[in-house]
Amino acid sequence: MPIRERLALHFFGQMLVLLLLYASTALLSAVKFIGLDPLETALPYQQISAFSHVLLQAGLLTGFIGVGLALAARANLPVLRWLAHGWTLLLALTFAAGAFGLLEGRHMLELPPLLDIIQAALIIAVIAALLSHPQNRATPFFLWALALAICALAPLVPLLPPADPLRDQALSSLVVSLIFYLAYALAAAAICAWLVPSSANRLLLNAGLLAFTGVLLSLAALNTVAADDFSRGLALIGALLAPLAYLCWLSAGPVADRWTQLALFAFLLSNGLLGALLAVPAISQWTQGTRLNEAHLTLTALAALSLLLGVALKTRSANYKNSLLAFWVFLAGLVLSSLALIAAGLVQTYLERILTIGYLDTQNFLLPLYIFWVIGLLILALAITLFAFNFVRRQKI
Amino acid sequence: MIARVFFAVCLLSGALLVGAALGRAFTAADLPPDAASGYAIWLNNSCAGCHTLYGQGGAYAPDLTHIYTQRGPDYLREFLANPAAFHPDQRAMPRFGLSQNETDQLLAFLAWINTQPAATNWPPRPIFVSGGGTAQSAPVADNGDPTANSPVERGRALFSRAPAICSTCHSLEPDVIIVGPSLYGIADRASERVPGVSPEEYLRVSVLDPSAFVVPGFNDVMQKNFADTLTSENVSDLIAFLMTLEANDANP
Ligand code: HEC
Ligand code: HEC
Repeated sequence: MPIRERLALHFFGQMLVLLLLYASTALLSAVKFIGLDPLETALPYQQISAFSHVLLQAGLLTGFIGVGLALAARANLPVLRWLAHGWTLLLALTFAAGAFGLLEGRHMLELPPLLDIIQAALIIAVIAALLSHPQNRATPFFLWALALAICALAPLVPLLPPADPLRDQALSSLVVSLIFYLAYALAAAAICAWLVPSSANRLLLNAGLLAFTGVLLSLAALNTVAADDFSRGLALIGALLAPLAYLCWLSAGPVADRWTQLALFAFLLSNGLLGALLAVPAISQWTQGTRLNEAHLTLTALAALSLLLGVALKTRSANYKNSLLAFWVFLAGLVLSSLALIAAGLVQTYLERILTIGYLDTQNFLLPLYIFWVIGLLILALAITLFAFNFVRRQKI
Repeated sequence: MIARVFFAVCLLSGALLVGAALGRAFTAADLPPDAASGYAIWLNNSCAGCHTLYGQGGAYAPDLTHIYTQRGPDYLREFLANPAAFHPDQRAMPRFGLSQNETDQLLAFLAWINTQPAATNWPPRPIFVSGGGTAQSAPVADNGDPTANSPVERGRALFSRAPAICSTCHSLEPDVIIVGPSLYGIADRASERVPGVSPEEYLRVSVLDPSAFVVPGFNDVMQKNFADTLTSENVSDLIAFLMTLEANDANP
């Protein structure tokens, strides 16, 4: 096996470790919603949820780097090895920051500023190291690099010194939205085109449409904070275009394997339908801050994850049959946890926002749905464990 | 080639539109110094990890955009000093151990949030911490029907619903202290509290001007904004309800 691919596997391995940690922390924070939590005050929600967001984000970024290495034609290995060590160190620091409760609690953007900067620098260095080879300069590669650069650089924006609470809040939300609506979709389009070269000729058209709608949808982050008809109008246009953009992408050509198929479908559901609905100003004023937003973000992350797991399997040249069980369990967990969260979000919107029943009373009504949500997360954790087990077991080098 | 141009145009126009939207959305805010310090405390304690403002944030705990007018500073001060005393059997908010000064600054921040232009547009209907619910809503407990014709029934409903939500602090069970005293048997006690004051008048003053008479053994922390948030009909309904709360000696 070429060293480059081995390096990619190294990143995929790290991704799996991060995902396992994510699954357990996500469970711990979800359990707080059903009030069965012995750690209620010892490990308060804002800490454990920040930890799980950070682990998920780190896992996805690690996976995206692995994909770049796996699919590159050439790589400057000595440099990349050093960068890989740097990345491992960053992950260790990230974990330590989370374990010692040093995360910032800025919803979804919780890394301490120093780590944000190191992370951005390392990712840019990886991109540069790969792009320095002329053979790597194919279109999908550029798109991959663009998406990863957005993921790396966007979190630096909210590090501007805090000034106006409304501006700060809008910027943070905008950055999170750009990562989920724009960067993940672009990266996914690039990876799909890579996996199925025959679909690559429409790549730029699809990606352009995805990028444009992704940007407009992100402006929904301003809907409640900065009441402005201009941005609301743009978000509405994005919401109208999004289903089209995702359907175009889906119809671009054959898909490689079932993980990719699942990823495409989940992207259509998350950004293309649910996310688009939540960006409509007339809807978002009722739903903003309900479980529906959480459902959208997790579904998008799971879509990206599914894609990464597919590439990891391929790089491993692992037997697809062996991961079949992991796939179906993953699908079951994804469906159950998403449906439960969406249902909880709908009920919450109706009771809390429309009937104006108090927040705490509404949460009590949602208990049964939260139980399904937690079961869904448990199943997802099981799927990732199965996948990791299969991934490691077949490694004979 | 066309594809490349298309992609570039999409990306550029997207970037320009974001820039334009951001530029239009914000004018420099005039954050008073107290509120600015309060904002720093808000950030340092990761309040947004659990709470939302304008619907953005952690969403594990209630939205606080309008909490300042909903609860008033006295209530909030008491709550922040000891969150565990409120909302028994619900998810818990940690105690942050803020100093008096820090609490004041935090409240200045919440007051500022509550008066921003965005706060006049959002949310379309009020979001309450607990209680709440309009006529069509399912009863939170069997608390009566707010549309009922009888003042007592309306008062009973109001007792645990917004905007009054007296039940946050007062139990109707004998000897159960949440933040304020149990109101079990208040109809009997009300006539003895202040010599020469009728029980109805005592109750009215208790609600509208709680500092006028502070029940021995308690601090003067009852919300003081009911004169603003309740209509005079609301207050009469509540009093009618409270006047039915007689101690039942056979069943103490
Ligand atoms: C661990 C999550 C968490 C964090 C962090 C948190 N809160 Fe809370 N907060 C809650 C919960 C849960 C409630 C609902 C009431 C309860 O059960 O105590 C609440 C309720 C409130 C209320 C409304 C109380 C009422 O009865 O109307 C206010 C005001 C409040 N919090 C302010 C703050 C401030 C200010 C901070 C930061 C210093 C903060 N919270 C941080 C969880 C949190
Ligand atoms: C923030 C918590 C809080 C809320 C909310 C609250 N109270 Fe109180 N209440 C208190 C406390 C503490 C006392 C005792 C100190 C005092 O007398 O001011 C008290 C005292 C009273 C008394 C006097 C009791 C006695 O034994 O003499 C009455 C009557 C009363 N409240 C009615 C109400 C009504 C009606 C509401 C809803 C409209 C309400 N309260 C809401 C905290 C609260």
